Amino acid sequence: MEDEYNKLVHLAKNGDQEAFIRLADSCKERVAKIAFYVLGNRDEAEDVAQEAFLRAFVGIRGLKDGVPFDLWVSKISRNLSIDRLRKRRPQADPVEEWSKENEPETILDIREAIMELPALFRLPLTMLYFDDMPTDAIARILGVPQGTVKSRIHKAKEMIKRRLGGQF
Amino acid sequence: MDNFENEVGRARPGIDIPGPFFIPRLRAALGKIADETVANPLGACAGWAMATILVAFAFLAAIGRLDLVPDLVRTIGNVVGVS
Repeated sequence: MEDEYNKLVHLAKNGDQEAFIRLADSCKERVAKIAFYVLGNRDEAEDVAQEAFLRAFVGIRGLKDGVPFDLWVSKISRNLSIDRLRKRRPQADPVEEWSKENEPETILDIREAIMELPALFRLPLTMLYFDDMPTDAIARILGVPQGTVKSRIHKAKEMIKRRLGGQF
Repeated sequence: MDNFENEVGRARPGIDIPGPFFIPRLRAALGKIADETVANPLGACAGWAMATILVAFAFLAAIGRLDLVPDLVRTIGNVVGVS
């Protein structure tokens, strides 16, 4: 499995487009979801994910040995999303985009509270609880120590609990 | 995991992202990049020229003749017409 993965990375570094597509296909959800958790808008998140992969394709020779492709592109996606977030205010109601019909009120309240968190705290929290990512992977994507990730998640939880008052 | 963490986990949005056209769209965009690279020989020349200059610097460093770098820069300047 790892041999196959390393082979694909090697081929992609040598300009093999199909190998790159296979790598992209294996991690597209993660890359797009990171953008979605930052931006709260599906279309924008897809655009950012596309751009992240295009930049990765152009710069893949710079991918260092030992750095997993998915974490590398996720980091690009995160940086592009933060850049885009700085340039605009959310246009759509993000909670509405996240929601399905007939969901319990508590769930909607939690989502709203999460979406109101600053991106600095929202992103590690959603990566941990929505995508089940380990904190060391989150740390690599965010480019901060693991301890910082844990403290941001802790703070995010405190902010949500405060926001939701006596519900928890 | 406490009750709060369970609830946060349940708040996971049930959204399918990216959509089904993501990979075809990416494939088309990558094809375009490849086509542009092929169709832009000037860019390719610039790339090769840069690589050649870097190799020249590396060669001078390897033989311990970095004192020749100013001559190399002057020569390159003459070639591209900036000095």
